[in-house]
Amino acid sequence: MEKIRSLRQLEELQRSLVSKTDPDAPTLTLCGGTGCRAYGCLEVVSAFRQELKKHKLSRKVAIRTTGCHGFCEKGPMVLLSPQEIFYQQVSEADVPEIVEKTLINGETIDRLLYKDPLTGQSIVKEFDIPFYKLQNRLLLGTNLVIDPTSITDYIAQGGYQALWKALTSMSPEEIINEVKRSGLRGRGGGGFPTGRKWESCRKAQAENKYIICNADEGDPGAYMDRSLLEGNPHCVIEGMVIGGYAIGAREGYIYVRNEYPLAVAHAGKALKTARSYGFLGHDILGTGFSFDIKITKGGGAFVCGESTALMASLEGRPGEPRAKYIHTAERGLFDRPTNLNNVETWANVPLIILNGSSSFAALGTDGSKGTKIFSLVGKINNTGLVEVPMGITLKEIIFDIGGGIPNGKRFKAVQTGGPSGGCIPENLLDLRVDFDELSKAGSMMGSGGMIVMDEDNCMVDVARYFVTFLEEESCGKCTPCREGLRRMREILTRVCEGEGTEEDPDMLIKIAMAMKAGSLCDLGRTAANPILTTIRYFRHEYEAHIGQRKCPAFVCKNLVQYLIDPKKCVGCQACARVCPVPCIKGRKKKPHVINQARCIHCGSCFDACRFDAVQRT
Amino acid sequence: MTISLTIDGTPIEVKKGTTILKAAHQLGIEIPSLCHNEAVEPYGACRVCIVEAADGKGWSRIVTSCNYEVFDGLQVNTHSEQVTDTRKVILDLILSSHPEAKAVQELATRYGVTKPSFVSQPGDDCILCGLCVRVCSEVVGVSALGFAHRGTTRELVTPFGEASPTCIGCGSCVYVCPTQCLHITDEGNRRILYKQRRENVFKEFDLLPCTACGKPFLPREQLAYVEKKFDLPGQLAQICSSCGGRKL
Repeated sequence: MEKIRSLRQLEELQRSLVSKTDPDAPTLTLCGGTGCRAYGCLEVVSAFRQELKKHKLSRKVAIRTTGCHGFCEKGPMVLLSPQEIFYQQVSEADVPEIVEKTLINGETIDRLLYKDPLTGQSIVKEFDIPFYKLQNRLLLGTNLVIDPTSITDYIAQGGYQALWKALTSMSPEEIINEVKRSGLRGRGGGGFPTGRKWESCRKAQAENKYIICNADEGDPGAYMDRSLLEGNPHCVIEGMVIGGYAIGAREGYIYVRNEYPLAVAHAGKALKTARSYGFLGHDILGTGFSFDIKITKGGGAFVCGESTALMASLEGRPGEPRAKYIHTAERGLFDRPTNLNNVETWANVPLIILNGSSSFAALGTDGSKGTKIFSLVGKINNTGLVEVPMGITLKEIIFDIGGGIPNGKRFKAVQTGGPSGGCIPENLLDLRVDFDELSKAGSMMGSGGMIVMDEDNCMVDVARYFVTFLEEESCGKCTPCREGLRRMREILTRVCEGEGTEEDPDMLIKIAMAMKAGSLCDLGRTAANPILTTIRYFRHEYEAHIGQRKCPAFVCKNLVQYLIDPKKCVGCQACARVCPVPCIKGRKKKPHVINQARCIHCGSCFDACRFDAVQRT
Repeated sequence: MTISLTIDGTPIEVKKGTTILKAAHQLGIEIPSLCHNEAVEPYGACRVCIVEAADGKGWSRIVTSCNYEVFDGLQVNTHSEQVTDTRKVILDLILSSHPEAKAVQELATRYGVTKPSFVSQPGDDCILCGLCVRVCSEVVGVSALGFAHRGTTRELVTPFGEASPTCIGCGSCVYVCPTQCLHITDEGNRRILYKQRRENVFKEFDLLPCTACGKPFLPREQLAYVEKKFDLPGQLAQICSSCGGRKL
């Protein structure tokens, strides 16, 4: 491949790529994100290849496997263009029918279309589905139209033109000012203004500086960065090269967890092809600027998402944070000025440079600009990735885009910002999602995880879960985090087991406040959030566990008793059959009884009974 | 370049790069700490030395004085309500996990914590301050000690739990340990380095005799280390400190 050394060359390449693709040529686009792969989308792809071959259509119909589309609830997904038909939950068995009916005969298969849960009507086009319609997919949108392993797909979409613009017509200071004007804030959790971060790294005096892309996303249920790096690695690389030029660095690292094999593979391939086109490496685009990127694989420690721990790990030392009183912009990786941003932050940079800061700043709130990707998981109808402008309300995300809570259950809380985020209750659903509003509510933006909980979730148990997670992931260097989490987990376990005391909530608050003030890094400082918010908004649940020895959500086993109502029991024996102990006795067609002394409170009988005879208190 | 700041209202001028802890000591203001020692780089792990730092313009936060460098106009409060409350909880947490450690007991008592709030799973006297680890790597330069595991399972160990081949038995780790959890003892011509209990041996050493009095005193590894470090092969007189001291 001849390296690109002029704008004319880049534009000609883009033009020829665009002209080669006929917009009316039949194309099958399949989501090949990690979620859809788990559903078996690759098998669907090969079934399509075989079926097309059988009908001698291989040359006429193109197949494109892309990164994550975001609507993970409904995978595997197939998009047929130019008809713009969206089929969901497609299996290998559906493939012959799709080829025959839709591709050859032009019929739509109603069974595979998305059905609006409210109206029951079938929706043909992807973007008519509320899940997509209400989003603003500046970043994720590209995932749908490019094969992440193809650099030409990215170039056809205008890829690397921002790099060209930055390197040939902007000074580093102009780039930094443009990023500052955009109002972009770090998407990794801290929300620090990106332009200011770059500026202080630019000003730091040193021969070598580093750029790092933090792809060590480790929050349970979060996969925004994963899907970006898997689905559109070139936009992250392009952002990093622009950042390298702006701060004066020659080397960059992508620190990505080894549990993201597809992200590692796609980023690796993208680096290689970017180098061969002259977008990376020596003398980029013939401008004399040289910058290269290496991939470092992380071992999967949550704490290594913290910038100083990440740098320690990159240097080959244990992943433990250090005080950031001296900023990493001055002394970071190998004691050199280092600029670290997360995947989503880097991905926004080419857009800001190419379209201008004002188009980015036009979206969002006063303090938080642009869009943000959230991973919407938990008790939600439309599990998936959503990209929305900052300032949208929680209610819109959960109910309009997310489709609300499954099985007619009632919403209870949403946890934003990963394990150290806070749980936000129903009466705050009108909260506008931006960095500052979430902090005011005691939670945080974090990297964008959103876990929705319903009436069946016990908030004390939820707090216990997250504290246990953080206890396991704490590096153990500083006392408040190591010892505080241990003791908070002890107290919460005690409360969940019905052995809590009246002093426990206040003790939890005391430890949480000390951790918030006194911990070394943000893992410890924010670990207090799940405790403080569950006590602030759901204190009555703590009190029920402690005072009445009851778990209102029937989650904490020790606090739930199962009884059979003899009036309702028909003696069908369904409960006795599923009881694992077994401790349910009774003659056929006669009321059954649970032996309370032996019952392990598993709830199997409750789930099995079809006559509402098994009751829990 | 000098920096002007105040600590508990008292103004002081110090050199740029000075930490709050050092500046406070210059004023005779004592800030307690468990993981700090002048001989090694600050670590900021025990969090006992926290103070409140403010710039007089509305910014203030809790910082560790051992590694926070002063700036012009800094106002330090070493015993604000938040500092004292937080320090008390931290000392309570350390005492709960290390109830037998004398240094912890004394410090906690000074802050009114006479009895730990938690009694389950008490650990040994090692408070994981990392002083031994740092002195071994930064001062002695052999890195014979380190931490294994993470979080609540974090533990002071020799590499792979075996006698470290680089340990020279100098005892620096024992010297800096704030809770006297590490011990070194000479038994005949053997030196034993152990943690907490005699059976928890880190390493045993053969002791070479003093050429003057014949008493075993010098681990072979230590002699080899000094000879190599100062390039004096075979030139060192093996004389124990009591004999050497007498002659001089």
